[in-house]
Amino acid sequence: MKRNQLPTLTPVPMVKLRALMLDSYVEPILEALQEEDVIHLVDEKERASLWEGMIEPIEASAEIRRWQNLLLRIDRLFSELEFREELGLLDQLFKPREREPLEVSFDEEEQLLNEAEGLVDEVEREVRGRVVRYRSIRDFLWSIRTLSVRMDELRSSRDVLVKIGWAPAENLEGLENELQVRSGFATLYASEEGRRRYIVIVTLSSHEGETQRILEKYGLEEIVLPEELSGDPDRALRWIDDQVNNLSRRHERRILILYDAVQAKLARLRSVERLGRIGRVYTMEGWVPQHRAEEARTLIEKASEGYATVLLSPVDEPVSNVPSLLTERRGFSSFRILAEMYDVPAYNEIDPTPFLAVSFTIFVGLMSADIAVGLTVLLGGLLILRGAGTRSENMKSLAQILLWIGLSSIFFGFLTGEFFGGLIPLPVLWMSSAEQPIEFLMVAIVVGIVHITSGVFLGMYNNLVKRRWRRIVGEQISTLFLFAGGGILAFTGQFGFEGIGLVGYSIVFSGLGLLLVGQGLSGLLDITRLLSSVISYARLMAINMASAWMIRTFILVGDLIIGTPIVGLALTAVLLIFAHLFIVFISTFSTFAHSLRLVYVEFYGRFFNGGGLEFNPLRKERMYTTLRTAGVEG
Amino acid sequence: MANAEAATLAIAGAVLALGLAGVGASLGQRMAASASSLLMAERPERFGITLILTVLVETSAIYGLLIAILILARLDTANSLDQGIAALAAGVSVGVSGFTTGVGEGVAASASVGGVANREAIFGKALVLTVLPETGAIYGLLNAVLILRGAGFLGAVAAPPTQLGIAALYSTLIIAGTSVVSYLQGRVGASAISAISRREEAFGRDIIFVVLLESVLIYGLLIAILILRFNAVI
Repeated sequence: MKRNQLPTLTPVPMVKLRALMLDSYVEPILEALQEEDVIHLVDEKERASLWEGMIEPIEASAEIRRWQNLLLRIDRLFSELEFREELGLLDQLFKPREREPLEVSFDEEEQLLNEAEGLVDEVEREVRGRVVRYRSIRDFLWSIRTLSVRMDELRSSRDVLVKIGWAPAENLEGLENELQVRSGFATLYASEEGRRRYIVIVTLSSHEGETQRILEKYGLEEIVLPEELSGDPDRALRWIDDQVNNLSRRHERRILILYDAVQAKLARLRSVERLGRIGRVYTMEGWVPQHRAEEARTLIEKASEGYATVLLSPVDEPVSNVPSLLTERRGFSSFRILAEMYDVPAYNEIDPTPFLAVSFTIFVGLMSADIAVGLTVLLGGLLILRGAGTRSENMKSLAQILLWIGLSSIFFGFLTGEFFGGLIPLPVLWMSSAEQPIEFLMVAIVVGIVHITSGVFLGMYNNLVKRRWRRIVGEQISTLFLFAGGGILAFTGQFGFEGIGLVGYSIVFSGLGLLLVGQGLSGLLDITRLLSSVISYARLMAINMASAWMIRTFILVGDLIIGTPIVGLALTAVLLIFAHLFIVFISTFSTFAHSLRLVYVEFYGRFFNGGGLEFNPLRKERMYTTLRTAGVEG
Repeated sequence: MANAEAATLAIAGAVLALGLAGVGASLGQRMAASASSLLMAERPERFGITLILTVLVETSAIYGLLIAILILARLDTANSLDQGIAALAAGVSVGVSGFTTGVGEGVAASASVGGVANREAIFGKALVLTVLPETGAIYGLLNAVLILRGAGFLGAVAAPPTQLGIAALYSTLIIAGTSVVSYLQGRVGASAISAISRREEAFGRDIIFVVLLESVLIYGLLIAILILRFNAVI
């Protein structure tokens, strides 16, 4: 997605694009639009349009099925040629992507697409026979790796018959018994695990007929070792791996390019079903960002060689039908996955991402305020950025979020003087929840009030834009009065009806009055809701205290065992390392969830409605390739 | 030197802290772990995320362990009956809230395992809904730590307040009573997770329903803190 030009408080302004095009130019136009991620197509069948009643629906299911079948075949080739990395959980997080995207030209892609079925047939023929065979041989070699045997010794000679293969595990006992009894001089080696047991049988050549009959009876699948295999099993394995790798490398480039190209083709075909048709003329309707509207027009006119007409118009339908595209904001974009986890903002609604980013980071930092924890989270974020972040945009965003919350934990750790629960004593620059719980609780409540108030102001902005005056009075101004009056009473401690106390009560009762005026009696429920929202922020102090005392408790246990002779120091070190990692794990997930809860419920509840339609442009999902065109990357 | 009766009560508090919270966490983890085990037959690749969901249920037991260690490590602080009662109350506070939270989180976690079996993409949302019931255990832990601090178990105090024992018992009664909400939140969370596994967009609305129950917890915490404050425990 290209960078949007102007950061705005609301999603990017949209323009409706309507186009008429000749049938022979539909594919080039869709491909040009797909390359630039510029248009969110509207399904003509589901919506009323200018040409309602004249449009014929388009069915492309037969064509789609054909390309889907081809994609399935390519997918199978991926497995057989081992293009996909099989990664465990840790590798998924921390191992960088092995394969860099292939640079490909538009013409090369087009050519491969035109020859797609022939190419897949050719590769399948070559691969099926050889790779499946190599895989069997490889599995057999793995099973005999620990044996002192050479490949030459596994071949038959004039007097000695050697048979190699695999049989189902349940047949092994019967095979062994019958070979020993009937063949008499047979020696059998079998692997010990797995549903397939790999077997080597050595017997006299004179017993070949009987041996063969027994092997067929028990379903032995014979494996014939290539003549080129020599040396010990490890050397043979290397040779097999080289053969598979050579085969993969020979076809890798074409298959990877074809995979992306077929995916893109399927996306285009599915988009064609969203268009309408009147004879040979196709109709298209969609939404484009306002600052890219002329770019979209130019793309269509150029791809159609003049055989298309484009009409751009401002938003002319309910906002619930207009997609929301959030502005790219440096530093905040990684938090978009958290913002959208709740809901997509409606088209004309405030984008909550920057506010979520700031408040979420502060809350996590406050709850897990510890320099050691912060450093560990920071390190984890860096490793994931270098690993899974190279393979997935979502993981890249998550890694960047971890970097921010790691820094926040370090910052608040310095302020509270916490380094692994006081293991390294640091000065308390601000306050410590362990020593000053009530004061920390007060700070948490004040943070909550500030957070809720900022949501109230955003709600006021929304209502101002929509000119909902009564709601401004009943929801926002009343809340501000209640906070102001309650704050005066709470912080001055003057609860009598005189002096500053009287001022406080006056403001509170004014707020109540505005609440009733704006919302009626049902507004009284808002008071309990407001109270519980404010107190909910006590969890900032509670989780901070829980984390701090968890670490202190483990250090206490360490103090008890460090005096143990010989192993005391080592045990203590192991305990503290385990405790640290465990606390980082628990506090990261816990603080994540509770911070999101505060943002989603207490903050969003003041202004956010959501229910928006996500801007989902026609795009080419390139997993393995990047387009080689000057200044443009796919 | 600890008073014998006070020490007995304090030890009972430590036992209840870990015992109750541990049982609750175990019951909850059993549900989540059973669901995860069954899932491995069909979707072994989900091992990592189901492991995370299962381990998270253990947090309430950790809170119980924490309070138990804090009590036992400073047993010699229990010089008066009030201090012994306070330690007992702290143990009950974290134990009961840990029990209900453990079971509630377990219900939600097992629903999350079912949800991610169908749609891995909902993991983040399922995680949030699974962790929400932990609020009850956190408030129970907070109450316990405040009581222990006021009783001198977490560092020297000038003199424990005269109403320490009774204030600790009453605050614990409130916290323990309202902690049943954690279990109920887990049940609602499980329904919400089932909903989002069919329609992800329901997350925003469903989280409101889970959080609605929390008001009772919050009021309980407020009253508990006021009880402790007005009796000079904190």
